[in-house]
This record gives sequence, C-alpha cells and structure tokens, in this order.
Amino acid sequence: MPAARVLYASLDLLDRQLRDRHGVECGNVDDLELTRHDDGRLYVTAILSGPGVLLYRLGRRRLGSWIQRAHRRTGFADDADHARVPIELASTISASIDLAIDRTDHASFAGERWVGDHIISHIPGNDHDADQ
Amino acid sequence: MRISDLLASDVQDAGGTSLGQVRDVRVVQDGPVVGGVQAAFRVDALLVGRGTLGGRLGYHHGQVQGPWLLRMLLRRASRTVRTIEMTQIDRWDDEQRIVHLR
Repeated sequence: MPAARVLYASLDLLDRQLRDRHGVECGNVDDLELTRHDDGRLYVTAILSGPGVLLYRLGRRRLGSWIQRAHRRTGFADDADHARVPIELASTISASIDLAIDRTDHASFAGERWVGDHIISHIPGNDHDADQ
Repeated sequence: MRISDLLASDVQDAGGTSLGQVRDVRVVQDGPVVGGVQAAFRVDALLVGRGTLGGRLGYHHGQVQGPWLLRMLLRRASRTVRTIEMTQIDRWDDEQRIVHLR
C-alpha cells in the first residue's frame, strides 16, 4: 500500500493557481475550509477562493465576511456559495490545482458576469463576437 | 472554520506558556473517501515557532535541497520550529485564536 500523500497547507496549497476543467485560470487558493468529522478529526473539505476570502485570511475578518456576503447576493442568481469548491473536485494538486468545474460557475467570474448582464447586454450590437 | 484561523493561532502548553504561532499545517491524504474519488485530507500536525522563511521556501520540509549554503542557513534558522501532532492538542479556541495543548 503506497504511503499517504503529505502536504503542507501554506507551502503546497495556499495561493496556488486554480484552473477550471478546460485549463483556464480561474483564481487562487485564498483559504481552506476545515470540518470536524464524527471521529473528532479535522479534515480539509473545501477550497475557498473569491472576493473577500483573502481579506479574511489576512486578518480583515469582518470586512472580508461582509464582501463575501455582498458578492454572494449580487454575483449569481442562486444562493449557492460559489467561492467554495469541494476538495474532491480538485482533480490535480501540483504547481497549480485543476478543478472539475467551469470558470463561469466560480465566484471569481461573478464580476465579469455582472458587467455582461447589466452593462454589455444594453449596448447595441452586443450580440456580435469580438472578431466579427 | 478555516485554515487561516488556525494559522494565526497562538499555541500554549498545559501551563499556559506560549510556544509561538502556528506557521504551517501538515495535512495527510488518508481520510475516508469523499465523493467516491479520493481520500480526504486530514489535518495531521501543526508547525509552530519562529523562522518561517525556511518553511515558506520549502527548506524546512526537505522539499528543496539546494543550494547547500542556503539550505544550511535556512534550516539553522528554523531550528526552533517544532511539530505538534493533533493528538497533543487539548482544545482550539478559534475565537481567541489559541490552541491549548494537553
């Protein structure tokens, strides 16, 4: 039986580049969610990334939490936390971390989505591709 | 709870003496299978103390070996870093950010 993989959170996980299922960069690992299981042990359960998460990690906990809440309400139509990616969706962990999600479903895309929905969509001719 | 809460925590022994701050967290992928695809990452130990530069550059963990002069200097600087197994922890007050050892 092979030895279990050992990682150091600060060295091997935090601030690593995230890539979506198509290899497109979609943010960085800003924080990690820990959950205590029934056996009393702590497990890493999710990668946290997106507006406000890094601020929280850097000590601005109240401001970071507020930005995350505000962002959650404005960025996506549903109530899901798009800044949270379950750790089992991290298919590869190396110099970068490959995720089994689309970039458009991640919190870091919310700003671009909002601009598209509220500004670009109101500009005449917005349905043309950029190269046409 | 978040790993950043743990990383900023002060570690105190049973007598209340501070041993330093948590500088890194060692995780081991030997937990129960999640999502039917891979084993969960279990929080295994805390690295506590001063001399974090060697750890941040990978020298303390042995992942980076050279150049040898840098390795010697940074390993020497991180001699005070100690590894605290999770079994040694009595409780973690995440509001006060203090880890109490047994």
